[in-house]
Amino acid sequence: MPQAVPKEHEVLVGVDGRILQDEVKPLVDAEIIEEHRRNPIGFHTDELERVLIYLRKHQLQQEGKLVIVCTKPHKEWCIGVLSGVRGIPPTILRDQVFSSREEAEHGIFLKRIKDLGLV
Amino acid sequence: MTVVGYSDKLSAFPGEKIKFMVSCDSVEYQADIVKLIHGDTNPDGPGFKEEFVQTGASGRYPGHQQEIHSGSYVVVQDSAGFQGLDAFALQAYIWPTTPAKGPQGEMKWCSSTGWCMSANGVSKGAQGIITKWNAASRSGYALVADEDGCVALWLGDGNGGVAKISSRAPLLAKCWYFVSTSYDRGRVVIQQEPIVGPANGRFSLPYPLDGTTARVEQTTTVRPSGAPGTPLLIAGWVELIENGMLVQGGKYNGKIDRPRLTSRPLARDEMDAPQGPHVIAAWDFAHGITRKGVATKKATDLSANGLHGCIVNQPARAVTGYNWTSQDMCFVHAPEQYGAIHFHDDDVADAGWEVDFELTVPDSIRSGLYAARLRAGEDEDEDYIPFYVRPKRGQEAKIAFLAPTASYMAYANDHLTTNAALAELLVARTPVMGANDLFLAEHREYGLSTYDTHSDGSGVCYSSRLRPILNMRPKYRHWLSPSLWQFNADLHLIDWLTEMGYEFDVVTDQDLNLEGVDLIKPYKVVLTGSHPEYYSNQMLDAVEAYQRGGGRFMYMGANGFYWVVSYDPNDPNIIEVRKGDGSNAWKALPGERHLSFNGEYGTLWRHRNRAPQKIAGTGFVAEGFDISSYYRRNPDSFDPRAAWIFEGIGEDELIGDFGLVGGGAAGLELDIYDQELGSPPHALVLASSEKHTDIYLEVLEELFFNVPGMSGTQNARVRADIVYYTTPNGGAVFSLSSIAFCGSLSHNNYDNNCSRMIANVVNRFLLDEAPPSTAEAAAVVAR
Ligand SMILES: [Fe+2]
Repeated sequence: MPQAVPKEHEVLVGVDGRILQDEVKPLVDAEIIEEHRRNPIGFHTDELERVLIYLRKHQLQQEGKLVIVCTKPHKEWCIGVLSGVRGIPPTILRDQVFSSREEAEHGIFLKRIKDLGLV
Repeated sequence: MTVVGYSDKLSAFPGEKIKFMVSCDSVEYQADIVKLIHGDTNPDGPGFKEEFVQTGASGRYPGHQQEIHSGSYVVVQDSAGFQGLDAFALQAYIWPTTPAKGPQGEMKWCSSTGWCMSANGVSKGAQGIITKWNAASRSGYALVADEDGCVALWLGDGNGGVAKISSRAPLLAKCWYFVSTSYDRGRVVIQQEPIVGPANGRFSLPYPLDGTTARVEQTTTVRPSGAPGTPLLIAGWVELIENGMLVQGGKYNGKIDRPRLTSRPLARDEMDAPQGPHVIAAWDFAHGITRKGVATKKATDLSANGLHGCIVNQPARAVTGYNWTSQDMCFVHAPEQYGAIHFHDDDVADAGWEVDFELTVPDSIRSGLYAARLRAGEDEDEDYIPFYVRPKRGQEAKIAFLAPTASYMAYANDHLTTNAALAELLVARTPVMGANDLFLAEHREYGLSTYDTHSDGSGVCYSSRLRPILNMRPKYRHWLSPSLWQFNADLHLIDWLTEMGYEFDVVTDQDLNLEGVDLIKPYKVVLTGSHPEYYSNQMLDAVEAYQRGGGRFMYMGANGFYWVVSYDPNDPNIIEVRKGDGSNAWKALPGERHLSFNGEYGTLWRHRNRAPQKIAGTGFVAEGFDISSYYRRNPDSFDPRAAWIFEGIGEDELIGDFGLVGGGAAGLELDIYDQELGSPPHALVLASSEKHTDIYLEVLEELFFNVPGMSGTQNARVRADIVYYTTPNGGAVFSLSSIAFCGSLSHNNYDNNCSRMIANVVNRFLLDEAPPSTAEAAAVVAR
């Protein structure tokens, strides 16, 4: 069922799109992708951290936001997609299975920059 | 989850009985009692540890499914006065928060949780306001907000004849309305009128509301039944009655003020104090408000008929009414402006399950943290229901671990990974969900934490432990921490005390709240958990009295003694908090910052001039949840009065550059020494952490303006201070000021500088002789 989007959010999405084009897109290159692969969590260069902060915001929307789902404790992780709807659990994407939390973290980073057309 | 459960008691003495309530999908399950030692399953640490305890409770039990029915309402037992009415009126003031298909749309903004949709993401459907309505037989009469968000009167004769007459004008969310529906021998009148004051609702000028005023007159041939045997409900209707258990339907979200049932409609100026034979029932939700708050579960009927109701599932009390002016911010000063209750379709005060088995706590077992371990199904799916065994009176050990159970309850079943837009930004990692989280994401009826918002976007100010709390479990990994948090993280400390061979008791916040300082007075040393954040007045007084009386207090975490809470004076299973002016997951609405349970001002203790620095020498300064760091010794650590704490630790050694919580001892949340907020001037600041990432930001309540340079790599205030000072009568306080610390204790088989430092302090604190006084330092400051 289509959701009525409040005016505030429409405006936010407009400005956010320009932030993506002007501030975030120019920072994405092979160097920061490699940096993230080596160290997905912790100290980062300013360039990588700025991109990550943009991705983590997800336009302040929960629908379609990615999470990590630990499918076997200490052994197996997958990407989950939030429904944004209370009572509907995330959809687990089984096509990719990761053997560490860090790998899953990097998998989500790659998926996000790809989905946004940044690579 | 094949099997889940909860217990009636959180703590018990040997010889006492504990009841366990279980829901199980399999035909049977195995229950055993275990002592919990270490709950961290990380292969890099010592691993999971539990000990089987021989009890009469061990055995196989038949499984049966039990459900939770969330949703708050008022129920009034059926009465002759509700029957045989040729003419009646149902009237109230309402402030609906999710009128379906209202012009504001389905999505709403919650400052911390971001955009979210109303419950179930689909039209909310009709919601009962005042109903004598049985949905199964479609009989009775009901004032509702219908599926189009319009006020309506429903009439049902119980033989298939149903009339639904609507105002045909959708209500606006979060605005007050006077709503009136009446029936008089076939003639129906529906009225809805916005009540716009300067401060009572979302708008102060009536322009967006003009189109929502309505008056509809109509006739009907349906003669409403009195629905005999069906109770009257406020904020819902009777969906069905199952084995004597009422199941609520038409769950209403929002406030209701001054609900009335009369034999002829009241004019607006009669609504406040209706009198006369035409008044069948006039409920006054402000009745029972005293200087000490409003904890009663009784909804008082002011009429001569005494048709009192019972308030079910703890809706929000002490909330502003239709006539609130903003001149009084506290409900005890103007009860007549607090005549509303805020109902939610996801409130839960008690799951109300049947008892499955009982345990008589064996006489011989030592005080500690125990659990009923349940295993069921082919995959040996399991659940643990934790409980604490107290020492027999007069047989206490010298050491007590004070389990911060009020704080565990505050986090109970939190939904921030799925609901909070800020969650990922806060932790600078992608939140990880496990099996328990997936279950909760689907089963919203298991209730919320005080970090969540209700389905209507309002903050959750109560939490009950009478339901399965799936994030208060051994083995559980919490999204907020790189690994463990709260209940399971505190097992790191229980494990260390156990492995080091200390004899210790475990006592809880709940006991401290009820019994005060007498609970901890017998102990030479009291250790807190890693995050004793939620404190009641009684608990804070007890800790200060312990310190005044010569007790030795070890603050083993950070962000402690922070939120003001109150336990329900009639039910120790429920806590209340009102958030605001802190680092908060939600903010209480204007005029709603006082706790309903006791009338006290809520928010942070520092706003009541009882900052944590007065209790622990340090208080909350920064948080970040990506990785943890280490401490470096300060000059004070070489002071002869403190050197004993560092025996066996090198001068230049970094303290805790290892650990199971983010890889270091200093992390997650950090506290700082601050004399202005009450840190004792004679305290020694022994060590401070450094090298925190930019995810660690100074907390909101420390800021005056939001300016650059507030994060880890640019801000020397982003640090944890280890502090030591002495208190009267041979007492002392030692504070670590970091939540991550206890995760470092087991490193290198418990042989490391964190373990050494804590052992030095515990051993010294156990002696009869007073620890070295730091009082002389005060003289230095005074000069
Ligand atoms: Fe907290």
